[in-house]
Amino acid sequence: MAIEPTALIQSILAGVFVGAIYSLVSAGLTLIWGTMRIVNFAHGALMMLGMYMAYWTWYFLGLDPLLSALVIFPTFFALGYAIDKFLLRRIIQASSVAQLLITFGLTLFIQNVVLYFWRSDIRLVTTSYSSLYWHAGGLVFDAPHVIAFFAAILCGIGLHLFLTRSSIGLAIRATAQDREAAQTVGIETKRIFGMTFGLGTALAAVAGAIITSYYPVNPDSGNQFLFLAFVVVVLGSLGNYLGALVGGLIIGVVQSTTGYVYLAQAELPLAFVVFLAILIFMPEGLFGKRLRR
Amino acid sequence: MLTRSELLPKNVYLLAVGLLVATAVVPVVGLSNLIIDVMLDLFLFAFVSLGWNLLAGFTGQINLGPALYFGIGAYSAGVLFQTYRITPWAAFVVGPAIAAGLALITGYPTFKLKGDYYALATLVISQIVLLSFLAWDYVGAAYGLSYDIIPFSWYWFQFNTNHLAYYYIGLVMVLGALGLTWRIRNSEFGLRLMAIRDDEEGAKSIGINTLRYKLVISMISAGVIAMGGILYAQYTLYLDPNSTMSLTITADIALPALLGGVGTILGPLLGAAIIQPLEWLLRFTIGSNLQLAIRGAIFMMIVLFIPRGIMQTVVDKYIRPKMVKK
Amino acid sequence: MSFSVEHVTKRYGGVTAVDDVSFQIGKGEFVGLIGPNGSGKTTLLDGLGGYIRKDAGRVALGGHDLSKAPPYELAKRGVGRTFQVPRVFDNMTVVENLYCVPAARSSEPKEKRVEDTMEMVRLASVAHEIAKNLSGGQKKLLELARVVMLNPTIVLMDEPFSGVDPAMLESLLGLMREMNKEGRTFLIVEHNIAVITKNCGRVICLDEGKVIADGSPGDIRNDPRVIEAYLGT
Repeated sequence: MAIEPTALIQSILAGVFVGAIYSLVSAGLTLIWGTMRIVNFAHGALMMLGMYMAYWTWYFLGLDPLLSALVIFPTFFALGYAIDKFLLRRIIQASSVAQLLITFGLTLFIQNVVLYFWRSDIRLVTTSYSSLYWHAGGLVFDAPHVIAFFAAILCGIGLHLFLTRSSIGLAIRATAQDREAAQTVGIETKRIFGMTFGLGTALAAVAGAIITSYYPVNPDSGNQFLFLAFVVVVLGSLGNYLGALVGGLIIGVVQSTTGYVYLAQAELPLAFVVFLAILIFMPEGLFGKRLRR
Repeated sequence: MLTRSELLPKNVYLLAVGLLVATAVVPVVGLSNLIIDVMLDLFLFAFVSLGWNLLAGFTGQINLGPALYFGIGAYSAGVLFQTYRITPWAAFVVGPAIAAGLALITGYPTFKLKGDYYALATLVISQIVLLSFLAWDYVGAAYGLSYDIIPFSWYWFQFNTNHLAYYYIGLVMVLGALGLTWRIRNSEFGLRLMAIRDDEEGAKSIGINTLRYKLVISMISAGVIAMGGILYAQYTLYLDPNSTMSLTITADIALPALLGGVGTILGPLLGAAIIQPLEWLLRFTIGSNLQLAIRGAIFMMIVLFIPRGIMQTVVDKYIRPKMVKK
Repeated sequence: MSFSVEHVTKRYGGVTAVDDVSFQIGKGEFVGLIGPNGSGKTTLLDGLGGYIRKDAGRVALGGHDLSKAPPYELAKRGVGRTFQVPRVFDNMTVVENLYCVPAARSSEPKEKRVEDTMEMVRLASVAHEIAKNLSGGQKKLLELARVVMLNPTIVLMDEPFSGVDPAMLESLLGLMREMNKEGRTFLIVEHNIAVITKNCGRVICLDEGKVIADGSPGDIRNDPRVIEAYLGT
């Protein structure tokens, strides 16, 4: 199979579009991981819940996923805050493995409750722009991907401004860098953990919501994003949200071009191999901070 | 040897083994097939959980990909029988050997990682193998392997007309795994593994090559879990990657030990004795989705309320204080 | 069996924590290694113990090159080691803590050696206690007992006397002297100069990663460079 330049560029573009979504999901995961030192296994399940909320608000109220995202953000911020308050706060000092297990349990719980109520049916949102696309220079741009991409970029910029300009954002970053020091300057880290988990969850849920116009909703929808987010987080360095934003784009492009030049089924295993390789040979990730010891 | 810290008075272990042996006699009295199947699952998951506990309990390394070894065992039996018409008993050599080999290869780089990163890495490795099996025609890819059914044959390791044979094989395997755990717990090898769990740098300082010890126990652990996979394959007689290697199976393997007590000898057995009948009951009454949701809730409860498992909690609260007084 | 350290160097980024350190310790010597905070004492000890990779230099015991040996290899070759915060195996009993030491360096049956060691360190009353329940001083004794089980040629100790009450300090010192009498060499990193100058036959002083003095306790006390390093100018 010869590689055509246009087709290659098309697949790179596809990678950038989906990569922005990975960026958003991963930024949420890395914030939680870096600040609370919790490997949040439930991140994908919470994203999937966000997708369902977008689906149902569209189904019953006819709301466009981009609009419902405005409601989904605060709702999932509150949900994340509650999960921290009732579950995670009690184990913040426990071993990292205990934390991994509790979020693993939470995932099993959420996924199977969803499965029970809504079955494994594949659901799709159709919007006014669902089948809209543009041609330019031999390339095809389809509206759902492009719109979701710009929405994700907007969220990314918003996140950056929040973390660098607002006092809560600064407190989150201070807590991530040194929990004890943050406390000594009067930051109430308990509350910050709640905010962080809320923010991380909201980011995942919004990322889920804005792709429902082209990505099918089902109880397993979050899984692939969870695993890819792990890859992105270690690639972009633990706790570094800018690293995650950049890393998401990289993984998106690597994944889509693998699918194009090699084999679609190899996309995910390849990403996993990348993950292991980074963990073992380059524990600092691309942008600093050691993961080991 | 001088007396050691027994986790429990010896009588408790004797009682547990006595109870197990008693279950060997009970079926003679006559049990419904359903109860035999429940007990069979109990034995199977007690067995693999004991295997998982060898690594997790002695060295404190939480492997989140044991389903990989389970699947390897199951597939080794399936491929031997279905593709080559070789007796599945041979899988007890092939399966554990491949599993141990994989444990060695994957353990070498991943044992450098700490706690949660090790757990994540093992999880990802098992996902890679799962995805590979889904695409691998030799093992039937996503369709899996269906056994040709043989009514009852010791040679072909199939006992469809009478599940009691599986039952006894499962019982023997559990007793074997308990014996193995007991032997290791009471050996210097076991003590050194526990030294690694308690303080890895300290263990190195007294001359323990910690990586080598972890590799050896992880190979044993993988081998035991693979044997469980063989038993599973021989009584379900149908294999596909998702039913033998998925995260659900990992949860099946780890949960009994986590509930009963990681690092205790009887914990996994106790855990399986609680979990398996409960899950059967739930599956029949409220369906498998809610049963799995409840399993998720149980995971969370364990971490929140009895992070050290039932055995350790009981020992710490009631038994140890009395022993010290004496 | 002399212990030789030649040109050992360790850098962290632009900082040279240990700078071309060399000394020789003869069999049976009882040596203190002192220096102000940040002088590189613990880094040097970690380097000698195989816990961190050295950037340059050679470490040898009785002519055997141990420069690249990992900690467990050093232990098997007769280099014992204790830590500032004792690293005992918390969830095992005192006796089990001793049993798990590999018996590579002795032909005596392990049971006898455990019994002898228990007697020597006077921990018999807590033989079957779980190690995490011991007092801080008892943990230091237990750690040293584990080193005894190794049958070491040389013992490297990191701040053995920090956080130890006077009575426990005496029993710890007694045990160390007893081991020293058996011909075992000691290299002790310590903060407390008084304890070192009182008990060691030889003192090495480190400052900014370099050896600035090496001699008898009397010489060290009067060495102007040592005084300057400690007091600053």
